[in-house]
Amino acid sequence: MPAKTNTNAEEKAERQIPWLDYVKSLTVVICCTVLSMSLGSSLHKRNLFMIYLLGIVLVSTTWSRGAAIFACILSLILYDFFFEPPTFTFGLDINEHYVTLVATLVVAVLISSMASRLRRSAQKALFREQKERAINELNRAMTNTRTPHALAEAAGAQMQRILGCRAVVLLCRTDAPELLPNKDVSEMELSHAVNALTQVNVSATADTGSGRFVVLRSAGRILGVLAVFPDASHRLDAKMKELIREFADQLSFGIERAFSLEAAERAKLQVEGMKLRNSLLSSVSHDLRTPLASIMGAATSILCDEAHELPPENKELVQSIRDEADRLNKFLKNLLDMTRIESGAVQLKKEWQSLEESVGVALNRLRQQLKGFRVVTQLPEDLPLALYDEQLIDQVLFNLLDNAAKYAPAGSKITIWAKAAADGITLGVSNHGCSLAPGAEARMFDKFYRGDASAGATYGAGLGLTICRGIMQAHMGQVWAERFDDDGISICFMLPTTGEPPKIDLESEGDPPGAETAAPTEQMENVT
Amino acid sequence: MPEPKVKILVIEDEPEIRRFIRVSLTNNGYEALEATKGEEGVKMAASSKPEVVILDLGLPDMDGTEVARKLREWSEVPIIVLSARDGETDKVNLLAIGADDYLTKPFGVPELLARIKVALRHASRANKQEEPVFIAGNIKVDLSTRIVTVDGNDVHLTPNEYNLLHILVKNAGKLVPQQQLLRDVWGPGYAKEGHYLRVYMGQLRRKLEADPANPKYLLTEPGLGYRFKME
Repeated sequence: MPAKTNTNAEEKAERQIPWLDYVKSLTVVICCTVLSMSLGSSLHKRNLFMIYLLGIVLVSTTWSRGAAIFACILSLILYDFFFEPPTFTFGLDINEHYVTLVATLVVAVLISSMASRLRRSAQKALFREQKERAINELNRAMTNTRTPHALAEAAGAQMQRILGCRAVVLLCRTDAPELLPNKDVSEMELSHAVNALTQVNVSATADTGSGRFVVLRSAGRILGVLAVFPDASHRLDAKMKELIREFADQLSFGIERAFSLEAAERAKLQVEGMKLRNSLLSSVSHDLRTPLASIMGAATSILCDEAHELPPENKELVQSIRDEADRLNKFLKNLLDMTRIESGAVQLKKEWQSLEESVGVALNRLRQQLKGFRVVTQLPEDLPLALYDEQLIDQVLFNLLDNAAKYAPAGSKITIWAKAAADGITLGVSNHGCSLAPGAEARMFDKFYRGDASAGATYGAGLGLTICRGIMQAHMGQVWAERFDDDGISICFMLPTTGEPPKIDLESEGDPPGAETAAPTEQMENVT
Repeated sequence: MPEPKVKILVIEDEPEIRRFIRVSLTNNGYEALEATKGEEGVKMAASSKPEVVILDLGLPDMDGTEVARKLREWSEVPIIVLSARDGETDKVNLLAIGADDYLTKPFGVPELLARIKVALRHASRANKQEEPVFIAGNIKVDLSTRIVTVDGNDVHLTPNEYNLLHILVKNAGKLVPQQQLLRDVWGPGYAKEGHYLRVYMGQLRRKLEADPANPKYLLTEPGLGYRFKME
């Protein structure tokens, strides 16, 4: 299809006002005749034809082949009429002059074809030069831009200038083959571009509606569409189309580069931002701890002073200073942990630890908050040791229990249970009073998720469970939520088995551990 | 003539923290001495002979660890360390040097006073005869007959379990570092075998505690050691 349009266009260009060449060659031959007449007296009449021959050569080199042949024949006729005796008659003896006629014709045709070839290659060179200049201009316009969008805009403007008609570069989304909206094109034009995108195959071009659409691709990925809208007055000729194709290639390359530059830039910014955030947060949290220690210390100092008993209202206020300082401290710890986990700076100090002991540590740290709940532990006596980072798993348990204390109704039961299986140990914290929307089980591990705000659960910063997930991921484990009964929820985590715990030299006398009972024992603690 | 007050030296550079410590110490009948720098603190400890030193880790002129080491060169005075850092390595180092206890900022005054009391009791007991019978809540340990009872019922302990309990009870209220327990119960070669402690402490808790997963007496200080908590 493109090849056919090519030849058609060339023929059209050659035939552009065809009779003009013949008029010009007629003029040349008449001039030759006039010159011959003025020189006729001084020259031998045989030499006069040479003047015509010069004219024919001139015509052949400059204009079309038809004009050259026309000049040949006309020259012979006029020469015969004016100078061949008997003069002013058409008495040409073909037999006598056919050599002259044939030789002249051959000279004319040869010269004209050579000349036209020369002309054509000169034209091609000129076009190539123009094209290169245009592409260079486009590339220069593209290199001065940093983002794909700025590049598309600059390239569009540049092509508009070169082609002399409206040209727009439509970009694709980076994540899906979908064109981004552009204010320079109408909705219909955009839909044509989308059609071009869906219909054509690799490297293809589509002329739909009002314009020509070239899909821009690089390494199989669609980058966008180059849309050119020629004016009604001048249609796109073959050279223009070739230029558009060249532009499309350059554009694909440029956009691809701009996209990868942008991605690299973004990655660099991310790393720098993360570094800055981490150092900022760790110094902030360290610096915040000192005033917090002063607040907490001053408040508890007042509360401890038995010699000066405070009025009950004031005592409550001082207590709330203490409690809020404590809460602030917990937020700080969470923030710091979050940054450490997110930056990937967590280095696990894994040792063989006892989950029972870690549960005890968490319960002890939360003794104040868990007052007024029925805390039940159901851990099997023969729970094996597990390989983990004590500080981090203690933090997971702390966060799970802290959460339970926040959401469970006062006086209700909070159960901590564990199960050992071949693939790992599962531990869960179960409580009632769950007001989770359906499907929130997965979202609750997202950063800053705080449950249903209407349920009065605006207590924490929404980082606790996210930290748990980060810690469990670092341990190759999992953390998830399960519902039970109507309003019960268990947050569970699983620590995968990572080999046999080290053996210990048991004493000869004494009770072997776990000999009496292997079943989970239920112990209760009633604190009110 | 009133009894001379117990002197406590506070080495801390933050004025607000020094202030509340001073006020609480004075309110509770102690005499508070203050130093803002490590160098100054070591000199004051030498000149005024305090009975307890409260030492901040982040001092402007020298590291708290360095101060503790200098004090330990000539003094057995109990050192309670205050730290705003999260890492436990410096705490472990401090305990190894000979610091007695630590508190992480922020902390409440009751905790501080409890630690001071424990430190003073152990310092004074060092010169006296050990009490033969130790009682905490429903647990009774007779150190002369090695008989342990819970709610009046005899509890059978293995020798290692008993030794472990003995050390903790002797240091009741005080943090006992893991290394010390491992070394004293199993021997110097076991200093890095932390899992022995996990297993034996679990056994001990099952025999003595009402709920071994929620202990009242045999508490773990993660990464550092164990503490027999006095009520």
